[in-house]
Amino acid sequence: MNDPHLSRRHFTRLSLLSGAGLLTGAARSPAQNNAITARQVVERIQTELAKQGIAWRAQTVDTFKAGDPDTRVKGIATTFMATLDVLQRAAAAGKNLVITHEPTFWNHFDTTQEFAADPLFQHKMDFIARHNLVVWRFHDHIHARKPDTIFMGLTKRLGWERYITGDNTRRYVMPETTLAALAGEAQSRLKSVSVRVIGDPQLKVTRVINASHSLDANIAALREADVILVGEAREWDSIEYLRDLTALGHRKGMILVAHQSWEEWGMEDCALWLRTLAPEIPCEWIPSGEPFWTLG
Amino acid sequence: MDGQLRGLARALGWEQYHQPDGKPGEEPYHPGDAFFRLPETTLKSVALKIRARLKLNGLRLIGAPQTKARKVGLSHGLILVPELRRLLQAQVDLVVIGEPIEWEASPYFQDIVASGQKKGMIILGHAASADPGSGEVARWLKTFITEVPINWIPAGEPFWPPKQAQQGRP
Repeated sequence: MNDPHLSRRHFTRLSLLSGAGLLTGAARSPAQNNAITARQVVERIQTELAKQGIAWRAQTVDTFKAGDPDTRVKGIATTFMATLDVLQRAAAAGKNLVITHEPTFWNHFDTTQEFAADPLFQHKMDFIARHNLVVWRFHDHIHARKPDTIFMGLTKRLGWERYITGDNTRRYVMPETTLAALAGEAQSRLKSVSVRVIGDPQLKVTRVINASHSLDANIAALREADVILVGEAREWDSIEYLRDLTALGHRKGMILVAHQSWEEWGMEDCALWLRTLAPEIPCEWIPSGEPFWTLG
Repeated sequence: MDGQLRGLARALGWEQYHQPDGKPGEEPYHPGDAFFRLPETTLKSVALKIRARLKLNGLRLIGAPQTKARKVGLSHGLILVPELRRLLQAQVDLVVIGEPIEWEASPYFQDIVASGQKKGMIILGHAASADPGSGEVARWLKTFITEVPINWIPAGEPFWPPKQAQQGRP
């Protein structure tokens, strides 16, 4: 899976360059009214981040994905993922700038050439055009904030701020509990029906690390934590690694939650922050919602 | 023949429902020959039957529970968007898959549903979808290795859901 991603990265770089040309030309078009444009909202975000010491990256997925960046913004919706359902709800709520943490077109780099003839892609693009929506991704730089807005949102939602130790906001030390109790707590706080757990339910837990999608990072986290909290990992690597680790007698566990349940919450804080940057524009968080249901 | 596909179809008890595409020069269950016509039922009732038959705890579903499920496309292991699109192009009501990437195939399917198409997805889990194929390997090996005993040892589903643990059945 590495090769296609490399070529996608290359493609993204090309589209960024062509986007930069657009920026200088179109930003000077005469204002039709006083409302700021989607591009100006993004410039305010960039300026504010620069003040916080976060330089804008040359290579980033944080780019416009659909719609005209010079559209006047009537309202902003922040969300975990610009699914068609979220776009429908944003349009109905009069929010024409959608700021999404995750991709719009079902791949990390939002490449679309392979979808040119796809009826679903056309439907989504038509919906965006018909409702004059603009979609912009806010992924790399929201994670770069200190603390990371996305994972502080998760920490607050879990009620675990008081368990943060030291500077690393993804490490928690908590009063002793069990894996089963902790998983039940995560399930109810995250309002998720699709939590899955690996390890002995009676495992004693005090040290928890909010880990990663990747095997390397999860292995490193498991050296120091009793339990890792994971928002989606590949089932043939991290999950099977932990299964083997527990089979060898190591007292470790994993709470696996949907990607959405992991990263949804910080986009609410993002909306609150944007209200301070663009107070003249209504801004609200539209939860993407749990993608799955289960038989119970 | 795709032994993984054949094994999963056998484990589901769906061989009787297989609709071979009859591609010249190909055996049934060649890769992509993955379509089944079930007696008319719903997404939820198919999911309940699969859960009971494969003894799974971690099934996840997308789509309205009462979605009609006649034509089904079957997949195992990781599914990427191109494979999902091929299944959907065959006008299936339901896809039964192993593991989606949650920023690729599963949101593609969520968008299919949001666009008004009445379709359902049953996510078995990677191990659950690939386990029966290993049984198929054992079955095949026995046809030409007769001197040693050959057994399939199912890996089983790796996870348990929190509620069941609280009820003491991890």
